[in-house]
Parts: sequence; structure tokens; C-alpha cells
Amino acid sequence: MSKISDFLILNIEKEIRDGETIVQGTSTFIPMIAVILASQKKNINLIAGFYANPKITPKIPSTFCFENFKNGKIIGLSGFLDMLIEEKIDLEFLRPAQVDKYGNMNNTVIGTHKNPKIRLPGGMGVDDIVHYAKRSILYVPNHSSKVFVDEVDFVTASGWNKGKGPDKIITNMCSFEFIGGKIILSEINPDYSVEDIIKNTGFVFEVSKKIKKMSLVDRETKDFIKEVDPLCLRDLEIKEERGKVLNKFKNV
Amino acid sequence: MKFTDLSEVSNIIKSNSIVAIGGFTINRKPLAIIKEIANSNIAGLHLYLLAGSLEVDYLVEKSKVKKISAAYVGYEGLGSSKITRNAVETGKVYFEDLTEILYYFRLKAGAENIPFFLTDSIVNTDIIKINSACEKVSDSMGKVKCKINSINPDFCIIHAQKADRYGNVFINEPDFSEKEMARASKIRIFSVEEIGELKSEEITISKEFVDYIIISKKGAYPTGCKGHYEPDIKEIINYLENEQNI
Repeated sequence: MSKISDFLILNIEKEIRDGETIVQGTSTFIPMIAVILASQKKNINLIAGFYANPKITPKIPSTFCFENFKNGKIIGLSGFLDMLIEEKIDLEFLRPAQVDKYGNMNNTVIGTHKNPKIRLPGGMGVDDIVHYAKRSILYVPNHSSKVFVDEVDFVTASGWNKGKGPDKIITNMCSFEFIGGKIILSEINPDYSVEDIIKNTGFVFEVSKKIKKMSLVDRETKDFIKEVDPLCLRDLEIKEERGKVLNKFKNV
Repeated sequence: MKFTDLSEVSNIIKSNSIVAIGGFTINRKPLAIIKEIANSNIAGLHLYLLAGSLEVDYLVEKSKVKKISAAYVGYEGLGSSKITRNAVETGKVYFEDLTEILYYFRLKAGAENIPFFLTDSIVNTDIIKINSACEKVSDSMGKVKCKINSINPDFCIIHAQKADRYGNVFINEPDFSEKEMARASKIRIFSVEEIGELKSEEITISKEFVDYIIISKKGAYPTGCKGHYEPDIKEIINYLENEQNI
């Protein structure tokens, strides 16, 4: 079984189309590396959110400094929002804390907004992206019925039952597609079964008759990812691995 | 415009006011000024920001905050804030969520003296239900939009790389809408790493939108200030590990 982060990077990369303008926010290391991987064979314009200082320590590789990345640039908030509203952004990958069968996503609170059981950091511009970008794709590193819920506690970004929603959800176990606003299991990680996914999803979904197997990480891709991200920043998004990465910073 | 020092901060900022804060998460947060507020008698603040981290925690920890309007409070890949999280979960602080568009257009409307902007986003979210600055309206074509009301913060506090002796300010990195923040706010306080000459093309915020300048070397530390120092990740992790729920 390959590393979850590497598996996601590979399968996210496959969604990126030649010529697309992609915006990617801070601390979404997995899709950032997927964009770098995609740029090896596709012509990508990358807008790196508005992170002013991507080299968060001198030990972080310069590939994270998107000013040096081929066709990459860092722009301010106003410039980014102008591009977004003028519909010049093709795609962003977003990570939800909760998502339902319509693609409504919650990054705000677990519980009610007035009396939150868990106050989450906040949604940044997720609804702005879902609404104005041509496509949005969600990614979930820890597929579970806590994330895939029947009804989200708070709608931070709206889904297909309210107009427009995300186009796909890619997880460590599978990939869902929204077709005509309906969620369909379209691809599966060969390490899991459909039953595993049913067990870990809090709503009923349709399974595609032409279900495909997701790609597994080959040696070449693994080596490339390791070279791009030697400190494993990508694992900051994997709950079980976060501590190891943070320890590296503590011991600098 | 007046040059002043950190000790004057507590005489300038008033309790129960709206304070807008520049920077983004662990970058260019005006922490020297924030520490002055945290150690003063000022209280009841409403913070208005895009994405906060230490500045919010420092003030919440000292019970200076009644409301936060933000799109995000956290430490990106480094973790979330125990202090702010706990204060919101226990009802000590109210968190009024923004989106990027909502944050920006409230300031832009305030800066341009326009009462509101309309947007197509936010309409179908729960944010429109909980944020007092926006509401559903129909435009002239009958399309449902989100009306975003302007904001004019009482104060803004922004850390920048440089200012000149006339009071013009240079932010040497992509903006987080500090231009709009300074134009929209009533009293504008800047801390800067240094004073020096500025070429006209370097002026990010013109002196007419600057009220106070404080020279504060490492005024954003341990958050970063591009061109001067990077965020001190080790120090921030230490803070996160040692911070207590309040």
C-alpha cells in the first residue's frame, strides 16, 4: 500500500487538464505537489493563492516558492478575486471537514454555529471558488462517515441541490463524480472494496456500472514526489503523520 | 501623520471598537502592536481580518475580544488555535464567518464610500444566515444576489516593510487588501521594519491614508516579514504546544 498522500497526489494530478489556470491556497500541500507533478507534462498556469512567504523555513525546497515555478505566480487578494470574478480561474482543489451527497461542504463548525461542539478554522473562500471557478474538486485524505455525512452541520460552500457544487471528490479510498448533480462512485482504490466505502460513507450512493480502478503510485512518481517534498509537508494533511512532520521542524 | 512609539498604542486604540488587522496567517502580523493592546486596559474589541493566527490568540487569551470577523483563524499546516477555538466554543467570543469575497468587498465598499456590493457567491450558504453584513436581495434582472454591506473599521493595524519620512508605506509582497483596509479605516496605525527613501512606484499606501507610524524592528515576529525574516516555525509550534484553553 502506498503512502496516502502520494496516492492522492497521483490521482489528483490526473484531473488537471492541459492549459488550465489553477489556484491553490495555503497549506493544501497535496494538491500543490499534484500541480507540480502535472506541470511536468502539461502546460499549467498556477496562481499560488496569496501566500506571501511560501518558504516557511529555509529547509523548504524552492519548488514551494511558486515565484520560481514554471508559469507560477503569487498574486495579492484583490488581483486573485478580480481573476475569479472574471471567471479566469479554471480549478481549485478544496478539502472539506464534512461533505454531503450534494457536495455541500462544511469547514466552519461541528454542531450549531451558535453553540459549536467544534469550532473549525473557517472556510476561507471555498464558496467563492465553487461558485466562480469553472471547476472545483474536493479531496479527502481520511474517508470516513465523519466526513461523508447525510447532512452537513453548516453549509460553508453550497452543493448541487442549491445550484452549483463540486465536480468530483477524490479520497484515499475512491473517487466520486457528480453527474447531473447526483453523486456516483466512479473509481476505487484497488486496496479497498465497495463494501468498505459503503461502510465509511454516511449516505447512500450509486455505483457506476463502469467503475474503474484508481492508479497506484509507481517508483518514478514516488521518487519525483520525494524530490519535490523531502520534508513530507504533504503529510501535514494526514492526521496520523502530522506529528512526525512537526517534529522535524522542532528539531531544526 | 505622526511618528509615535509602541507605548502610545494603548492611548490611541479605544475599547469596544472595530479593529482591522493586516497580514495573512503566519505572515506579517503586527504583533508588537498587538502585544501592547494585550497588555493594556483596552477591551471589547471586534477584530476584522482575512486569516489570523497569533494576533487573534494573543488578544483572545487576554480577554480583549468580543467578536471576530474572519475567513480563517488557524496556523495552516501547523495546527489550529486551542485558545480561540475554546473561547468560541464556550461562548466567550462570537465568530462571524467571512468568505474572501465578503471580507474584501466590505472593505472595498468602505474605501470607496459605496454602501454595498452585490455578489453571486455566498447566496446559498449558511454564512449569509449568520453574518449581519450580508443579506439576500434581487437585482434589477430579478436574480438573487448577496448584498455585502460596507465596513469602516475604527482602527486598522498593519505591519509593513518600510515607510518614508513623509509617511508613505511600502508593503514588499502581494497584498492582503491592506490598501482597501487603510482607505476604509478611520485611524490607521502602521508598524514598519525601517524608515528610508521610497521611490514613487514603491508606495503601497499613500501618506494620506496613514495616521501613525511606529518603527518596530521584528514587529511581526514570530510571524514572518518577507525580505526581513521568515516565520519562526519552531517558535510558533512551541506556542501552540504550550497554549492553554481559556
